[in-house]
Amino acid sequence: MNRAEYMKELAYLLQDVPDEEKEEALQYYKDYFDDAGVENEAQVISELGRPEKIAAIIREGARNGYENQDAEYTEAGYRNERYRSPQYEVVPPERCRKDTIEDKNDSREESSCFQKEDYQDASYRRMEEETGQSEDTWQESSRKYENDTHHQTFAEEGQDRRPVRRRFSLLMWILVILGFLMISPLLLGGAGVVFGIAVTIVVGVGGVALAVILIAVVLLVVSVILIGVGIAKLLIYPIAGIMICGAGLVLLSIGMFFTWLSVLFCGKAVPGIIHMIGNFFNFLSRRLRRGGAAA
Amino acid sequence: MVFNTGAALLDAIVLAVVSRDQDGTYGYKITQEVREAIDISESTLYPVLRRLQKDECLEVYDKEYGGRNRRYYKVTSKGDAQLNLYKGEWRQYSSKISMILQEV
Repeated sequence: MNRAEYMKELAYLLQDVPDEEKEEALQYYKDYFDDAGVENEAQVISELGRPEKIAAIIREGARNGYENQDAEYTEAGYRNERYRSPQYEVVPPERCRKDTIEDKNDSREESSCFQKEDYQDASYRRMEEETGQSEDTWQESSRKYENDTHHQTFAEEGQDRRPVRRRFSLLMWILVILGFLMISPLLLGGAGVVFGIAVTIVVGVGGVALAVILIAVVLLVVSVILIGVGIAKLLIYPIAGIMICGAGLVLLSIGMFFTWLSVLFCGKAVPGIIHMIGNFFNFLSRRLRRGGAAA
Repeated sequence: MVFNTGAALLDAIVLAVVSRDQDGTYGYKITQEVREAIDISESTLYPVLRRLQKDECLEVYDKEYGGRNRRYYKVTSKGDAQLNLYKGEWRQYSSKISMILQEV
């Protein structure tokens, strides 16, 4: 990372800080880089530490006017007792000198020792967890910049951000309920239509069946009457009598046809309709049960 | 190296360093001089300077240097008084500690 990238990242991280404090801080560090000179640029970056740390310090300071009574500025850096984790213990700068020495020619090596536990500012530690980088790797990468001609961009370092956890919060449930309420008129309308069609089918089929039965009955009755009358007339008016008998027989046949039709209806179609309705209700209840299990 | 430098002591050191120059001095130079005495992070100084500024112990002004505006910090009279207070406190504090440490 070079100075321009560092400052850009810092400016980005300070977005949520009030303008006045943000501008003051950025101006200070810009001046700092300028006064250090280009030859010291990498060293300054290495010793300032990560932009997240600077940003955390500034953010905390902007919030409480830099009057942080809990904080201590140790030789090894900013330490806040309130956020200190009991898991870490303080590593005196002596030990860390052995760990981070890479460049023996660096005369400032004794000063640049930042341990994890020193930066206990809550927001900085969170950032550290998210990006999975520690101060040590930062030191390494800054040093590499001194020796390499092409340097890492900060974008590469920040790639391994863990995904945010998803939870079914109360808000989500409220949204679901509201959505359901909004859609419910549509649902009710749809259900009404379906119901109407079902009723039509039932009534229609039932009505047709009834009509067929009635026709059959009427025809049979009329035909029997006619045959009876025809036979009676046969004795007096033979031709008329035969005609009437004939008509009666024709009606009888038609009546028998309708009787067969009505038997067909009652025997097959009506049970078939009832079966269809039964299936539909089964399908509905299965759908509801599955829907209930998923929610 | 072993002992922590509390906020008050740090304030005292910074005020002392800045008061070396009558017209004040700038951030980078302050940091370098403070680090001659104690081993602190370069990122630590900014909050101290801001605090002293808010407490009106330091005042800032801009002066042109090399084609850009450089921000200078200067000790106020209130800062002077505060520094004297710190000096007195330090004399007492350090002599007591020295006495105890020399007893052993």
